[in-house]
Amino acid sequence: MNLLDVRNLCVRYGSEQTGVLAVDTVDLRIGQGEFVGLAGESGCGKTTLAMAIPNLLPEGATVVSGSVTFDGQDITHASEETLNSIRWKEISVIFQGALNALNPVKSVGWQIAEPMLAHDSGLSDKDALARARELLDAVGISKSRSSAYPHEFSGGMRQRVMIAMALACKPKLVIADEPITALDVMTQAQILDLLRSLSSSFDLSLLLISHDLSVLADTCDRVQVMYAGKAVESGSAETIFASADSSESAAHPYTNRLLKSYPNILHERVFIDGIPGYPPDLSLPQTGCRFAARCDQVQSVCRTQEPALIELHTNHFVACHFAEQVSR
Amino acid sequence: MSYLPRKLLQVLGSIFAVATFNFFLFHIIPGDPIRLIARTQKLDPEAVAELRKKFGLDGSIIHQYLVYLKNLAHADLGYSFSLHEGVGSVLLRALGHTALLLTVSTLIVVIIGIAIGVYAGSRQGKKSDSWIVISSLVFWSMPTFWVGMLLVFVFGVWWGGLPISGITTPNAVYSGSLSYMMDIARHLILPTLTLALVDIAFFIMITRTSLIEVMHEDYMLTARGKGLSRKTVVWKHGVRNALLPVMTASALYISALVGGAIQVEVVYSWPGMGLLMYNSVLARDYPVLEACFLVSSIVVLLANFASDVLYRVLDPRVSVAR
Repeated sequence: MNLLDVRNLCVRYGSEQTGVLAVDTVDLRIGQGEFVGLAGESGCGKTTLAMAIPNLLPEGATVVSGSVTFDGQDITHASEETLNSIRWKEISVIFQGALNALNPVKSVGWQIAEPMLAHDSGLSDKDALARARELLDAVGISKSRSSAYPHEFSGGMRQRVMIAMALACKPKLVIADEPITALDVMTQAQILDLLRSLSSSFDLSLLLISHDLSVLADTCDRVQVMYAGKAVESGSAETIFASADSSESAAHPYTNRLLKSYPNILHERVFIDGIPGYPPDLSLPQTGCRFAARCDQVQSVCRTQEPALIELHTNHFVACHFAEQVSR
Repeated sequence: MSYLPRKLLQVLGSIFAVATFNFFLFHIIPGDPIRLIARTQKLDPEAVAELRKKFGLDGSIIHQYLVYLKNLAHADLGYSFSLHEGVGSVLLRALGHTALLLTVSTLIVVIIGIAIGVYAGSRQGKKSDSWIVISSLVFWSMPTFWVGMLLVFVFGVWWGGLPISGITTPNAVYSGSLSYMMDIARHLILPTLTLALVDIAFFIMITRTSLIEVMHEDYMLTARGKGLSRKTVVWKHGVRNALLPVMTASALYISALVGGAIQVEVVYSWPGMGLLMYNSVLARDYPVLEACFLVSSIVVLLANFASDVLYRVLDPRVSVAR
């Protein structure tokens, strides 16, 4: 059984008439101990999908249909009380931009200890603070700095604090939403290493969100790619990142273009061509494949008929009419 | 130089500047105090000269200023032209009465204002929030003296159950200090209510706006994500951050009130600083006015000083930024 099972989820911003379906009938499964990557460009709905899991959607966003099952329990429309007992204790979040995700007037030690105290009434303040110091040590920050405030840390250190905080209650699932985006490249690598090693040693599942596929390549077991509110491809990391001539590799044109949008420092220098154009305006009705307007292999059927998500190989799903013959 | 001594030195410098400014300001106001003391046009020049000498108004203005400074250094605030009493004792009495009124009304305004502001701010856009904003603005836009007169009419005249003037009942005989205090408390009700009704909007609106801004911060989502109850999220994470600007506003409010309770004190004949200033302007009582303004300025400076210091305690970011 999967730890997390999201099925046919639809999330809408705004009203029924004028609203925008930011997540449109998307599935997401994460197994026990599995690291899953969620990729796609800005505005494709990856953060919305992730925030819908512990129902931390902003005001105005509603889950229209579909279900979220966590650890065998349907929490789609769970009460705030039930959700509060799950949040952080079972599912914690490393928020986008840790620079502002920490409260500026509370010491970092206090902020790490806070969820432990909230979820364990038997824990004393002193023990919680001691554990917070252990966690700081585990993410490579000196224990003595637990009484310091967020503004006294660098960006990378704040992200480390955020990771320590996410692990405070030993959750089963950690959602890391663009955890390294605002950091420089050296710090990115360190934070990614830290996240990977701690996730393994804490025996937890990880949902890693990034617009940068190369970040997901060596961290995740499985990768799901989203485009304009839809899941367009999902498969094992080996499949998605396999070279084009191997027997099984990324099959959706969008995934392939996304892969080519980032340089690979280990390979030859290639021309980074990016993907011209913009994603469609989701407030307008959509017909056909949503990527059709930007796809270089578009055919007439793409503009009229929406491709279904089919299982191309075992556990490799693609939503493209020409998945089997896409040239890469 | 470290923070506190440097700040205190700034405060002292400001007090000196204010004292100088006040002195010249009141001598610019047209009108001759001697004429007002004599209450007649037909005073012979010798008597006028005598009065001028008595009140120290005979020398040049620079000479008068230097004498004023010298006396100030000796904590001698001068002699009131109109009350025929040392300014120090007049001021002390008035200050005590004003302090009583202001302490009670400020506590009510700040505490209730913040509570209502937090309630409204955490329910932005809901019906209860709209009603709070609308009614705050209605009261905020009413002139203080008009609200005062309205309350006098309703509670003093119509219903007649509450005293509308002074700080104690004239010629009252008290059975003990408790009944004396009860009498003062009854006299406090209407002036306090007037100040509270008008000024509470200030704190409601500032707290509300500040909290709404804070509610959209990323760390509020973190707090929600931690599985904390809504109350904990709003109060422990939201209000703690939202109160920083409210504190600055409180300091400004207290400063404004020291002189700004004039309208209320005049309407209710509350024998405080406001009424004293009002009467002193009418009598061109320079020494009293100078002293009143000096005391007001000192309160303003001290209130801001206190808020500066408190800010450093409440916001860890300030101490680093100096």
